Amino acid sequence: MDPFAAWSTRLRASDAHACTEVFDALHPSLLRYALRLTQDEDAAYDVVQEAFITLWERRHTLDPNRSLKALLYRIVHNRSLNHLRMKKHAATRTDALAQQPPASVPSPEETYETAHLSVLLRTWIDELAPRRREAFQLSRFEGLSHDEIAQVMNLTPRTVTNHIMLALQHLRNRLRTFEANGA
Amino acid sequence: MPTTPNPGLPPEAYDWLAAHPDADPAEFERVWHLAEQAPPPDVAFVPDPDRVAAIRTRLAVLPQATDAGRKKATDRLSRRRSVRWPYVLTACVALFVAVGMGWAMVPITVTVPPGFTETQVLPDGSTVTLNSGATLQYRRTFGWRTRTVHLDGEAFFDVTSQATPFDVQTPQATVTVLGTQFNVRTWERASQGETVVVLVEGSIRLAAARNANASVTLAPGETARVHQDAAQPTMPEAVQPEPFLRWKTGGFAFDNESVPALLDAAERRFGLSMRLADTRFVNTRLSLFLNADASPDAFLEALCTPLDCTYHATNDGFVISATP
Repeated sequence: MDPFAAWSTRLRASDAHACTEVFDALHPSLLRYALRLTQDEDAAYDVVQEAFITLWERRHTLDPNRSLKALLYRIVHNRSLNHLRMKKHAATRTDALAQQPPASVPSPEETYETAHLSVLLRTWIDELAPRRREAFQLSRFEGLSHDEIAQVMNLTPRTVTNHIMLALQHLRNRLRTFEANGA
Repeated sequence: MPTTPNPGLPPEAYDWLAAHPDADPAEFERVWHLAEQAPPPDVAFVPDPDRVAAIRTRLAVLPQATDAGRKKATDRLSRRRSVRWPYVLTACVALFVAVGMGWAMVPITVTVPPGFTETQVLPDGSTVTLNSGATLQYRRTFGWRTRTVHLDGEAFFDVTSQATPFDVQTPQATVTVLGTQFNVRTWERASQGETVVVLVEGSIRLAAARNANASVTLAPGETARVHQDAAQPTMPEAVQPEPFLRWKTGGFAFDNESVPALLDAAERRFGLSMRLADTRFVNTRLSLFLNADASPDAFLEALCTPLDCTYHATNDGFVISATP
């Protein structure tokens, strides 16, 4: 049995140990995900803590057949966006997303001489539109299934597949150009 | 970095690739593998053990089902959600007003299908009997300051006596009444748009739609008409009201009526198209009396015998033309 399904069942039965176990298993990924969305470490810890409190409050509605992992990512996703919205609303109009350092595009010479492929790939991933990049990263680096990503990002699974395939296509095109020039 | 080892592309990717034959699966798999070398920069982020421990402590004392505990946790969370109540309230009021106005403005419409008549009781207790194909409209505010209905087609009105005037508006005319019984007919056809009113009981005032001041007053047993081009109604004439009302009991009776108006009435009654292929009959007037169960053929026979015309069936009705 999937450990998450087992945890769902235990949470439904109000087993508080299950909650800490899920936290131990997922907190590094969830913190990283919250940090990526909020760009604010304090907010990330708050968001994750609240996500688990929300999970606990909703424990009676959990369905062991539905992905607990997707649910947690979704809560973190929504709370992170709420945080951004509040910040934008409350303080100045410094858009938290705009504060993300712009993807630094190395000059061609720089690229040719110094860059390793992994640095280039990093740059190319950063070139993707934010939603597409998020879907791709959840798939590639967090190991979420397309259905889970669809639940987290509130998209249809079909759109998720499109995002990921177009992201890969973008990387493939960049790689082709790079290899054509480098060779 | 707890990446689950990904042996290949996600399963959905292969469906997508199958639908895109120009894309090379091997290339996509290669990019997928290469991307593993380029995790997001925050992968280097290591959670602060102290802060993680603090959250763990917090989670260890989660309230069991006690309502007080749950409420406290909810309060704390909802405070941070910052719902902008003034906006919500304004939106609710605006929505309520808009829906209410829309509700009051959208008229009630009664349409009678061909071959049927229907009797409606209006909110003031007046009854309206509608002939086939007629449409009656009135606002939900009917009876509040005014009693106004819009009629297209033919209807018989039995209006309750009230201080509030009762108006029937047709495209050509306005009929204003106090308590009375009368028949209004307004079959529109080509340039023959005309409203014909017959009064049975009481008293009514009839005016052209374009000029409310030039009105005539009808006494029981009188009829008057408003043509669409006329600025005032015709002078009242004495008639036998009975033939005008025979449609109410299913009959078909017209006294000295124009051929287009007769065809109009037949179209609505039978639900068939009745087209006139010869303009010669447009101004011909005719009297016609048929039983309640008359068929379209019986009508056409009764029409064509005096006019010396022929008719033939089309896909949606009949075409009437002069005998060659």
